Amino acid sequence: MLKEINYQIDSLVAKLRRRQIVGSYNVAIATSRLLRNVVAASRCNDVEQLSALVKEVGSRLEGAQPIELAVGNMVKRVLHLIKEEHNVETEASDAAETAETTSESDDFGERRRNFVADVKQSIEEMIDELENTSTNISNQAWEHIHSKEIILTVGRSKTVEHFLKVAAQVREFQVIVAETAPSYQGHEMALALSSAGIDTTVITDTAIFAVMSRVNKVILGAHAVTANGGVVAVCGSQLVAAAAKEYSTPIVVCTGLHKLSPSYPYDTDIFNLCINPDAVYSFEAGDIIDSVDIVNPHFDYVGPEDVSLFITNVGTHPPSFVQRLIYDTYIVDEE
Amino acid sequence: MAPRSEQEEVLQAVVIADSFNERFKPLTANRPRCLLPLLNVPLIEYTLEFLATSGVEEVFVVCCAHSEAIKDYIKKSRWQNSILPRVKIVVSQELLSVGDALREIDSKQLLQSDFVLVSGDVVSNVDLSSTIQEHRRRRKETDKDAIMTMVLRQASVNHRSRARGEESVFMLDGSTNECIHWESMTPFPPKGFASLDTERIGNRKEIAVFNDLIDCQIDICSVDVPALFTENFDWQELRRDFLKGVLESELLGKTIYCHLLKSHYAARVATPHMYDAVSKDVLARWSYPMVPESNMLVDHTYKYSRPHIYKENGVKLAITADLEENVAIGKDTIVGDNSRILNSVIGRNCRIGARVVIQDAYIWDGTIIEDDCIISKCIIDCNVHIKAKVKVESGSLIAQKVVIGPDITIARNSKIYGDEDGRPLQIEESEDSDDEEVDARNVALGFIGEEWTFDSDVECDVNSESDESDASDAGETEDENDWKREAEATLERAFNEGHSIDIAALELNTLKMAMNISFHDLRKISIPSILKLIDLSKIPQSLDQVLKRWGKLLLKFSHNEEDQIDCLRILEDFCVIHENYVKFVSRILHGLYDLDVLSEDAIIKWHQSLKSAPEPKSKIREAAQALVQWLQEAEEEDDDEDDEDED
Repeated sequence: MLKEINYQIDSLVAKLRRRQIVGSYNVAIATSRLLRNVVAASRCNDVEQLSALVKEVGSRLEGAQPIELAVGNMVKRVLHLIKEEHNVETEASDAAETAETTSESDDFGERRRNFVADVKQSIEEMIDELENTSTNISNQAWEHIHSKEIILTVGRSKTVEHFLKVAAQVREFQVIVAETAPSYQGHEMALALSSAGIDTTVITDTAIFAVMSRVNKVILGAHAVTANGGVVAVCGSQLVAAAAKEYSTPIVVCTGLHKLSPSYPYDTDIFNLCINPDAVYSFEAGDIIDSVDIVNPHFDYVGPEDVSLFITNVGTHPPSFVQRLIYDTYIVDEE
Repeated sequence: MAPRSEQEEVLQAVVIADSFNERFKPLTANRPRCLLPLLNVPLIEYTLEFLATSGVEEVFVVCCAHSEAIKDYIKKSRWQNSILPRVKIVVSQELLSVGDALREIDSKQLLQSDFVLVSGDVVSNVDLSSTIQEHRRRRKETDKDAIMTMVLRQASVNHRSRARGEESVFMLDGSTNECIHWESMTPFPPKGFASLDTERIGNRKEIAVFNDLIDCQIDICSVDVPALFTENFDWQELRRDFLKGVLESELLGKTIYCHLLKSHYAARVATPHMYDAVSKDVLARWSYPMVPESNMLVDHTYKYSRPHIYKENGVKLAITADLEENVAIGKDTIVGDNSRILNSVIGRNCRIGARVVIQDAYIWDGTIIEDDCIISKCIIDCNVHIKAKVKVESGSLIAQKVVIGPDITIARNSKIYGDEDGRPLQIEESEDSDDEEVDARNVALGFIGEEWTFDSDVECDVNSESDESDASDAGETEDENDWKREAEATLERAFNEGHSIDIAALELNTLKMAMNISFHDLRKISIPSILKLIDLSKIPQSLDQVLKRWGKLLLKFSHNEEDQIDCLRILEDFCVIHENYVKFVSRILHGLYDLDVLSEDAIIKWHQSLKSAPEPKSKIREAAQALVQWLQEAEEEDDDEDDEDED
């Protein structure tokens, strides 16, 4: 591998480990750009070699920050693309073989070189798709949000923010944002929404249950969507989901395809992340932290039974359909 | 090479990989401190990772003792070929202090511009880049003489992550965070006050005094700093010599600033006690993302589960083994039946037997602990063999390859190393093992098993506005007459110079700290002094005047009813000696009552206690009778008329 590429891989690995790149969208973009460069610079030109190379780079990246499931998703997506290109290739050459009598013997090597270029091309298309994820999701907004509705959301999801803003262009509705302690992302979210002219109310997390009876729809963002249709989302989502279930309020999750992960949550804690407890209890209060364990989980797991609908950049799907989407988009390890 | 413009400056860092003391002896007998494992990762990894997070591009690791070990380690580690940062090793055999190391750096001319100076045992997750920019901006725009920015973490006085025995007080300009004074505040010998030269205040409007900072010695220095060390060849330490030297010297005209961290984690493993504290902080994830499961070393495979349990692949736990909380366990370690482990770190390839209890202990790779041992609050080095039924009490350090037991008890704070056959030997503490300047008792506070909390009185006094603390004239002798004289002199000065009550109280408090006397003593001094001010020929004007001016001083020394009764007893004793005051007792009491110095309950109680007192005291009782009666009556009614006697 080229030194330059190796350097790029190392620096992305370091950034992931140090959590200088966070958030599934940023991670997905960074990973796919890196994989594009890896593919473009690779000298190998048959399917196995290229797949092996991508897998190897992928495992290094995944090892750096297992919680960022988007890394693995992008790697599997690229592997899928490689296989598809190969299929197209072989079909084409089969076709060429059948029509051999008419065509002059096509230059085999030339075609191989095209293969790498084709893969690179399709990765670039994938990056384009990634960049348009938010827009594609938001385009469906007016189908889901109706006038005079009351929407509840937690945390600050870029996707949800964009979704609501687009909806606000055609509909008039009210948004309630739970403040999402201890990160208080809800405050930022509320500010962003109200500056776009949406009627926004911030409530404390404890008031979620109290207001739920008035809410028409809950819209959540996601950190990742697991293979069973469960959602890993900002801490506090499970609370919202439980309240919504009590009142039979539908929960809609806005997510890009890049968040769909083939991993299965065998334990609800497995995709969680405990971050610095500073936000929960200040480090300065020295005597307390000596005797009390303070935990600050970053995510919550919401099971598929609580989710009503996924709005993705390729359409809306029920949780049970996630399996199918994963099968269509990824190569899941056979072993 | 053409001079590079400001933006392209390579950010450099200097890591001092030598501790220049022996606090971790015997663990550091054959390896440097920066290679001691903290949660099974060598300390220097944390430091280098921290620098890399801050965007440092070039790191110089200065080493002296065990330089070969450090070189070997870096060569085999992931830093060998890393580009960001590039790690270079500077070896010199003749370094005795941080000062020497910086002189060495200066003589080699390795540094081009502002750099980060840390020691090789810092654990931090701070991203310094914004602080570095602030430092550069300050040098360019507001103060070109700013040669250093110290990065300090705010904590509390008794915080476990503050190095015991190395406390210090920082005084900063409230608006710019310029450091104007630094003073070491080691608990032994007890000092209790910090004094600031009034000249240094200049025209500053606000001074912030901090007694609760974690100083982990992360400094952003300009290139002038090593040069200054070269000029002042006797400077050894960064704080004690350099910081003090620069602040106190008018000739140099250099300034030093502080950057106070309000979030993020920063601490330095300076003593075994700090090793314990930092390990616990990392286990509790305060240093996130620098936690075990981020697997800084390539072959590490830690996984996290609640409550703060970190396990590597290949850990074998008996089904009845109990990992309670805050535990990290390395690869291929086996834990036997019914063993309990909490708040501990265990290395790779260890074998823990059955029914073992491990608490607050740090056990490094390859150690074997047989059945029924009890291990608490200690550090056990690699490949130690502890046989059955050994009890290790808190505070012990056990060096490599020692074989201990069976069936013995290791006493508190033992330091054990092995002879060639692994038979245990004790290190006797020699008084002069450390730096002569450091009090051995302060060193002892760094022991891992040491329990210590501050007398919280120290803090509040130093924190009050001390722009006038010329209490340096307080002598050092503990003689009783001495403090009496001193206190009387202080009061007299206050009376003559017309100080405010706050200042007088502050001075007396400072004196109390310095002389180790109690509030009772202060009361015993100040009550007679105040009473003597009264001109008996001009009663009642003089009495009212004096009490109005100085009575409130007593409020500073009496905080509850007991104290007030104590005041009354002192007053009583005073009147016994000075009989001419007896007839004014009622008036004095009334005056003090009006000032809230004495409560009615206290007066009544005191009065009752005098019931059967003999001759001179019964007179006092009679004199106070009228007032007490009035008080008892007033209790039922509203005490609206309290003020009728004032003027």
